[in-house]
Amino acid sequence: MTQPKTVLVIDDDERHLLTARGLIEALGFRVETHNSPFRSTEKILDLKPDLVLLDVNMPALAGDRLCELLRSEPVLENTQIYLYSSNDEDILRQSVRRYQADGYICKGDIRGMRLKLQSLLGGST
Amino acid sequence: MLKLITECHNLDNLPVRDLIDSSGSVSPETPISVLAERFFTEPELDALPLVRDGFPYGLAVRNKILTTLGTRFGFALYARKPISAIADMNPLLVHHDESLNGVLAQAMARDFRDIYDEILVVDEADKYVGLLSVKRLVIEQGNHLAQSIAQRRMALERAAEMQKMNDAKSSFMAHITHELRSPLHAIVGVIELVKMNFSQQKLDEFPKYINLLSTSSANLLAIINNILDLSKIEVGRMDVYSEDFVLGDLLQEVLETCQVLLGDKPLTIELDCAQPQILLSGDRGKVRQILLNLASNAVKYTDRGIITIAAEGGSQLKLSVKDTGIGIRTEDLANLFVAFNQLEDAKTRRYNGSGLGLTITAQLVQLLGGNISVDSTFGIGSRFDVQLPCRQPSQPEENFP
Repeated sequence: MTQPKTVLVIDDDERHLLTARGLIEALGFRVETHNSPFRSTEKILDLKPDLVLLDVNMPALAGDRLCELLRSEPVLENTQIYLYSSNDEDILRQSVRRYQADGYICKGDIRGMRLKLQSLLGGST
Repeated sequence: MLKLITECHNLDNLPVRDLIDSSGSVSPETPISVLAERFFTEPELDALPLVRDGFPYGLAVRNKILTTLGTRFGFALYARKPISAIADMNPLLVHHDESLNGVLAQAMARDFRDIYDEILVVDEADKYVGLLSVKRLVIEQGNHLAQSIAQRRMALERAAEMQKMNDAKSSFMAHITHELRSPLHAIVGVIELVKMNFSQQKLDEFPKYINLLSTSSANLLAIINNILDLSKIEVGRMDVYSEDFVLGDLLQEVLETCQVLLGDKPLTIELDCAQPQILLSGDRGKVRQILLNLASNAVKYTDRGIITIAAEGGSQLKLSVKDTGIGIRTEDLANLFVAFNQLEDAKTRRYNGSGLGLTITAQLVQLLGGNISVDSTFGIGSRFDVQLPCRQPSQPEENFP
């Protein structure tokens, strides 16, 4: 039995951290959460998650900008970063391109999130 | 606006009718000496049309006639002859409906010696109506061009303003979209968790889930109400009602709502009202909304300390909400109550909410004929003051001097 894949969710809204945790854990992945853009680099370096879900609308430092910063860290070269947001898909698509994220997941689309995570990290259910 | 510009800008559409001078004419048989005399005594007279029975026959141009007469033997040769002998008997004729640009083009297409000669204008029946001065046409054309350039600049500025407004509106839309979806997505997520856990008979998290569902729905409802209120105010559909109410009851109601919003923040909310029993007459619903908006903002932006809600009734209802929250930066104060402007970039906002609360509050205060002011130090706290005209039912207006 291999170690379960780890997903780190970064979001300032505790409600979304709670639902993301519940939904993603149910897929058999390990979930860690972080409720601020600050110290998130440390958290990622420390945790070395397989995938980061990054909220876009966060205080002081927008998630897409944060993504750009994380992308400049050579150590995180193999970490997949997905934008996780309630924003419009068109805006998310633009942000993905501009800030070199690996993709995006829409907050309300639970089915889409499950499918995407399973195909990215391997289905365990 | 646009129509005006096209009209003025397009000189092709500007008829020459208004520029006509129909002050005088002479018959083609007039002796040259008579005409010469007129040109000598009337220095302003540049040209005279030759007209018979209402129809144009030719044009006597001042400098041409005088030049001819001024040549050697000119006067002796011509003085007694009719003007038709030396006048231009084939002058440019235009219709009175022709456009300024069209007429000028024809005038300029003439032989260079005739370019500045006056132009005869005729009506539908080819009857003479007046003269056009080429100089005047050129000046008019110049004026209109200058005017149209100014108007074009104005239109461009207006368009830039509209663009700015549109940008603000689309950033507002993006913002509102996120604000509406975010609590709904939380609700959708929690419901999914409820379903999953229920199927496994894991009920221990349910109180937390239900609490989340209730706060998220309340949050969503508040945002929707704000948007609807703002649009109602914007189209002027908001009516003002009057009813009697006890000031203290209203304060208590606001306090209770705020206590719910408070959650587990180490925050105290105080009421400061010397006469809670005072009976006031006014639009209770709107007064409540104003106070609640300010108080819930205070709760939202204050992490610890004290929030004081103060009220004083009388001929004016004075309300104030004071907090020990994050405060407002001086540069942000000016745009605090302005719709759209106060919206920060949706991506860098620190607090949830539609960002419309203060805009609506200010609009409501205005609707009730009052005023609102804010005093804030960044990092220390804010104080909002509202004065509303008010009446006490126990002291009807007639009793006032």
